[in-house]
Amino acid sequence: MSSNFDGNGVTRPRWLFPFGVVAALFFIGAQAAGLLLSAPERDMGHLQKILYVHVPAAWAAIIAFLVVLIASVLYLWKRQPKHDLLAASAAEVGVLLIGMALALGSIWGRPTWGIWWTWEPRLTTTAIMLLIYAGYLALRAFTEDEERRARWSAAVGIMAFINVPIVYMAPRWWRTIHQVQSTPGTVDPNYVLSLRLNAFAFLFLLTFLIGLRYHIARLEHARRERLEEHALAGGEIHV
Amino acid sequence: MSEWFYVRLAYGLAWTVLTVYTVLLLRRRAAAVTALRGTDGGER
Repeated sequence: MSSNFDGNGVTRPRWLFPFGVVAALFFIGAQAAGLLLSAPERDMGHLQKILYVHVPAAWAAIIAFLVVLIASVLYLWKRQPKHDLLAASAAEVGVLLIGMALALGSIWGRPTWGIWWTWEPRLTTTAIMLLIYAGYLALRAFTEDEERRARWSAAVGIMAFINVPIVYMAPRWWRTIHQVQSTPGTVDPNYVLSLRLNAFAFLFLLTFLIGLRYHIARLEHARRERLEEHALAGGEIHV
Repeated sequence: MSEWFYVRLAYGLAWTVLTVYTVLLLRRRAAAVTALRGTDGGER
């Protein structure tokens, strides 16, 4: 497999850690604004504050899966390992976030709907989405050959995205207990600012986490390549 | 249980998951940098 890493190492993206600090501070501020400044909602009371973590986590997960799709297409087109590594990094972060969104929705659903879980269309399609992308990560873990893993993963990464618009549109297409998508157009104006702030907070956090995970993937990939080079050269190596 | 119980549970879960994952990534990055140095490579 050809390498896209030059020389003896991997360049550290200089923006990553300063951006991480800014993202963390913005996240703390946005969460504090959502928790402390938003008034109780007429029906839900303070439970509406859970939406400032549940909804942005779901949005961020969908963006992560969009990154998986784009990087997978780029890999099949250009056959560069960096696109495969980016897709895998985004998938891992996306699985974490969509798993979190499901758990947070469940915590909100118990006092609001009276149940932790129900097999209605939005929840079911989201659970299927979680399983598909978890399967994508499992496929990567069980395939040793790097090029084959990248090719198969790219194919799964593209097909998996078919479910994403179905998840998004489920409350409009079917009768569901879940309310329609929470957007500035469907949310009470009193809660739009906090929702927007937290949407950007999760977007920044998502960017940092994918960037960090991608950097780790590049370091580990570079190490494997170095080990292969040493093995072919018959040299000893200290690891 | 009160509304605040569920709010605290949700935020506690979200912050814990995000913090633990970030710390694990930072530790994994440090280990990856060290491992790459062991192959005469490095992070620039």
